Amino acid sequence: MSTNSVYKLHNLTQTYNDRTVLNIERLNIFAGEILAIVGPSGAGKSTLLRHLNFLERPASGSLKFEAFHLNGEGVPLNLRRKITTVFQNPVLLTRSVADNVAYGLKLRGKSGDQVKQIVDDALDLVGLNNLTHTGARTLSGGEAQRVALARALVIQPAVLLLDEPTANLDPYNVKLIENIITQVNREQGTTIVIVTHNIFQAKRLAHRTALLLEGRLVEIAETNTFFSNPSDSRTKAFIHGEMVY
Amino acid sequence: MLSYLQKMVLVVALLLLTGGPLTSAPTHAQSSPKSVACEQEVVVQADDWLSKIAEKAYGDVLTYPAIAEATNLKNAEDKSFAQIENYDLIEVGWKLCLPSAADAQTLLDFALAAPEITPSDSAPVTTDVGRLVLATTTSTENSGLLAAILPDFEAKYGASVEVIAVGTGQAIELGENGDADVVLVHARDREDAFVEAGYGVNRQDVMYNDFVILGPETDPAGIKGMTDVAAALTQIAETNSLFISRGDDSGTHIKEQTLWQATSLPLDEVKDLEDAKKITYKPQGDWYQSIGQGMGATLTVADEQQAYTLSDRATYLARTLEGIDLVILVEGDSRLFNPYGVIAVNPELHPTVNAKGAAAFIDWMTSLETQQMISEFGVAEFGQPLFVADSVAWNAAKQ
Amino acid sequence: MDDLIRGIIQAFEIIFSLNPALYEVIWLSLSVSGIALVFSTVLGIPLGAAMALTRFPGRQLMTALLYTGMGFPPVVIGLFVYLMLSRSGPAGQLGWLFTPKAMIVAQTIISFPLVAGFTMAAVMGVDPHLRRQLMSLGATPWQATVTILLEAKIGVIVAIVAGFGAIISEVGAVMLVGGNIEGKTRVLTTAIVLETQKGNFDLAIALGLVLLLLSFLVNVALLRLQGKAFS
Repeated sequence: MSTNSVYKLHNLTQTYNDRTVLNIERLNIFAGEILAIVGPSGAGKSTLLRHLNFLERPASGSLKFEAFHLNGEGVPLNLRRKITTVFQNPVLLTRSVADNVAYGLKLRGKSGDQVKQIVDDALDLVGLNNLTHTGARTLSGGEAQRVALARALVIQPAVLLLDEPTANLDPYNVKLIENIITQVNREQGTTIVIVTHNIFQAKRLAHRTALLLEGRLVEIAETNTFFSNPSDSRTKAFIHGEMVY
Repeated sequence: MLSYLQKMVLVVALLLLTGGPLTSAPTHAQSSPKSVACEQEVVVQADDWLSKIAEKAYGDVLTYPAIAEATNLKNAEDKSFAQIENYDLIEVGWKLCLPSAADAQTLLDFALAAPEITPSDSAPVTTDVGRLVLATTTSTENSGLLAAILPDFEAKYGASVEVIAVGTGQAIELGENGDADVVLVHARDREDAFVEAGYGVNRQDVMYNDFVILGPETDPAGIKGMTDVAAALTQIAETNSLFISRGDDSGTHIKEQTLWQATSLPLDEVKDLEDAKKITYKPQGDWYQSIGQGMGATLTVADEQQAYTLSDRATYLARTLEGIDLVILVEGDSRLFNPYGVIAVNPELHPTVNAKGAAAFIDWMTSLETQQMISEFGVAEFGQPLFVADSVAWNAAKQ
Repeated sequence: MDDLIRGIIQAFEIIFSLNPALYEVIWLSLSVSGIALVFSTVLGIPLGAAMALTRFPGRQLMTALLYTGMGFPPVVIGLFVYLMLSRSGPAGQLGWLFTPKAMIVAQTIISFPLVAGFTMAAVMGVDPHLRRQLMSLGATPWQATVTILLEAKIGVIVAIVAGFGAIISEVGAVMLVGGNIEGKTRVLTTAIVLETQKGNFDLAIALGLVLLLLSFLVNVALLRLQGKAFS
């Protein structure tokens, strides 16, 4: 794991109807790390992810991705295509599982056997190769979540953003997805930011963990340090389940 | 023809005199003669006609109604005199009364005096005939005639008239199916066929109007002022000038076909898909456009396209108020005559029809008061009437 | 009742008689409505999609106008087109009145709000989060829009079918602006009115059956298309 920053955020704010929902004073995300962002519901975790995927425009502050400084203009497509998100509630297309997984590749102009091979491999990886031709809308929640992961992985993103990817899943699926996350990070060096309200998942997966409270970054530290020796009292309260939220 | 019409007229005039059922009694300048003295009594011989006897007695064939009336007046006192109901029918052996020349003139003057119609202040006829379905041609509706006169009928007879304004073909079909109670149309052959086939009863002449050939003021075919309608149509064809045909099997369309047939132009004969005996005639060429719509729409299309068309005068005049650039180019040819008839739907065939209402409607339509309304309709707006009243009673009264 | 049964029997005889005049009317109906449908689809689908997917000032007013347009009496549209194309109207110089062009204009105006409105409803029915997820997978805004339209394809096909159904069966407007000229602007609906007025109920029924059959076939064809798009 290098310490090159993929993202540099400075005084990044987001407001909805005059209410500040995100206010990140400073946050650097390193290339190849798994960063877990924990915090109660409504802390601004998902909003932060959307900013990292350039799906929202900040109200103020700066966001730098690799060498690109976000400004008033659009984000170059080739940069944007290095990042993808697996959302908490993935919406799949009313097509077959394979077509859903292939979608990102098709967008990038790939076609034919090449796509088929990549899709098959991805479905193997998430353990759904028996459902290749099934209609995606008929899948269970766990299966849909795995298809969403597969369709994100096939495009080989430099940054993979995961928004509660295992919420409401059974232990088998949780385990499977967590294994894939660590595998992709290890083998492909993918930078992963995972939003979770489950501190144990953060502990299991992340190199570093950050606590977000009311849109502000309370603490960010090596995961071990974060859990064993938090510097902020609110972090301490949160990891001991004493925080009321 | 003329004398026949006059005879018919006088029959009705006499009926009126005697308080006939067709109308409320008109008031006249002169009072009705109650009795008459016979200067001469004549017994009808073979080959005698009333007019012949009149000529012999007074030196004027047209005085024969006086003889008939005098005889009928006499018949009231003395049954040895004949009762003459039909001036065309006198029988050998009948005794006739020939009044003095002066009396004859009085009788004649009276008979020929134009009726003065007084609006009826008497209470409306109380017969409640209810809902009456009138199937009629678009011209009566589009010209506004029905709207002007029907309220009178509805008030007098406690009726509510539903007007279905369609082409003559459909109007007659509605009658055949018993979907209408009475029809008011203008296509004499169809009307007669309708009655002959037993679908209709009690056909009466109501009125007539005439057709005119309309076209743009520029008159590219150069037919303005022509009096021979066939020649005018031929010229339209030969100059390939746009002509809009109603093409809807209406009375106007049927009339138009007979006019084309009167030319020597080659015509397409289109067999009806349903009835092979029914043939539509139309001239050949793109300049002839059949639009299958009512008179109003046809005038609109012809006006827009600056084309020629055949229209009844009533609808045309009504449309001139709303601004139409077409002008009358050909009129007055006797072949452009357009008589309307009213026919009751046969209640024996369709027991559900409103026979009482239909009979009342026909009586009312042909009555002097209604005929007066018809003759006056349009004068205020156009300076000329749109229809010429033509019922037997009216013609009789007018003579 | 007799009329109806006899009419239906004769209707089939007429349909199979291969009468050229009948097929001319059918062809004109299909081509006029078909061309109008192409126009209203080309205009209506993008507008419907744009109104569903974007927020702009006046959007609510536009939506209200569109819904009003969906319920607008076709004959009033016919009247409007008539007045525009009339010799004395602003577009009178075109000389389109009483030609198939005028009918296409009227039918396009009639079907366009239906296509746009139903498209808008269909696209709005697609999960609102889909667009963000597609963008996240690297779609350009255009690619995302196309994907969303494909997701809404059942609704979009319904929009097109509704547009077609409205104009193939419409009579008032085409009568007004087309003039029902034989061999030129006479379509199935105006021919039905004419034959009914002439008392030719058999022929009117035959034409009515043809109209029914055409609508049915077109709907089946579109639904098959929809089935194909699924697999």
